[in-house]
Amino acid sequence: MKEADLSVYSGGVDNYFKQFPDSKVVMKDHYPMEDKFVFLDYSAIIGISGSRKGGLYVTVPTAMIDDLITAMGVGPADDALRKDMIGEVANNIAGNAGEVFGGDFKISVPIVVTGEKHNIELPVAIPAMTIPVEWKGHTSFLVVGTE
Amino acid sequence: MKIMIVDDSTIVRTVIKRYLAITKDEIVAYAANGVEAIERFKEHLPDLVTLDITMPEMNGLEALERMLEIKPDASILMISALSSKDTVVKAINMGAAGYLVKPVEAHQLIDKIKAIKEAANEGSGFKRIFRWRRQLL
Repeated sequence: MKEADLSVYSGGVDNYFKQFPDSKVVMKDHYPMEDKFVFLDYSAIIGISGSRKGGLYVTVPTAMIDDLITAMGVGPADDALRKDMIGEVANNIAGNAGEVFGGDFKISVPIVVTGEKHNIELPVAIPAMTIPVEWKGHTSFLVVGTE
Repeated sequence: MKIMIVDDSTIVRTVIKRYLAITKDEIVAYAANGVEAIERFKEHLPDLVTLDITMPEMNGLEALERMLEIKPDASILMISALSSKDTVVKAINMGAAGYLVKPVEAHQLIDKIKAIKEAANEGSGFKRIFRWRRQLL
């Protein structure tokens, strides 16, 4: 995956959080994902097909997703809303990338998982990059791996 | 104007509903996927539908096509995170009245709906002819 491609996804993060002007999102330096996938409390995984095969996922702690739900003016937060919210965040980041990558960039509906233990298998053969995303004092991660 | 909101996200449906409170239109139905949307659409025959694309069961583009077969003069506003020009052009060519890329702010939605209402009032005859022609092709 090219550096320029990664900036498209980080642009999607920026674009998503622009709707909350009172709290700035900060993305730290990205790094290659090592042996282990990082999964926090709620994660949404999106498959990507077309010329850039692979996937991305967003993983966040419960406190951050609760703050996001509050910022959207919806709530009170519960497990269903948290899954809904993280799925929508991932869908926005992936979907917005199509503006740059074009019509051949296809995304799946998000698969949402909770906690660290689940049966989702990710394409470990494709090198992935991790972008730490900080918002309102919380740290989450965007992990992207595409051909 | 009777409006239906279609999105697989409860949060997005709630936010759109809140934005639409400003327009004082009547929200007659909600749906969380394309299949449910077609069922609700047949029941309520709304004038305007806000329609997501990436949804389980049936995506929004398929639902758009079915809805316009049922009610050719319905106005369908696509609201999707998908932002590729190809997708936008495809939706418009299929008969969508407009397209907004998520995340959507209140003023964008209100302005777009106002424009759709004006277009519907001014060009309803032309719009019907265009859609009938599209169905014949």
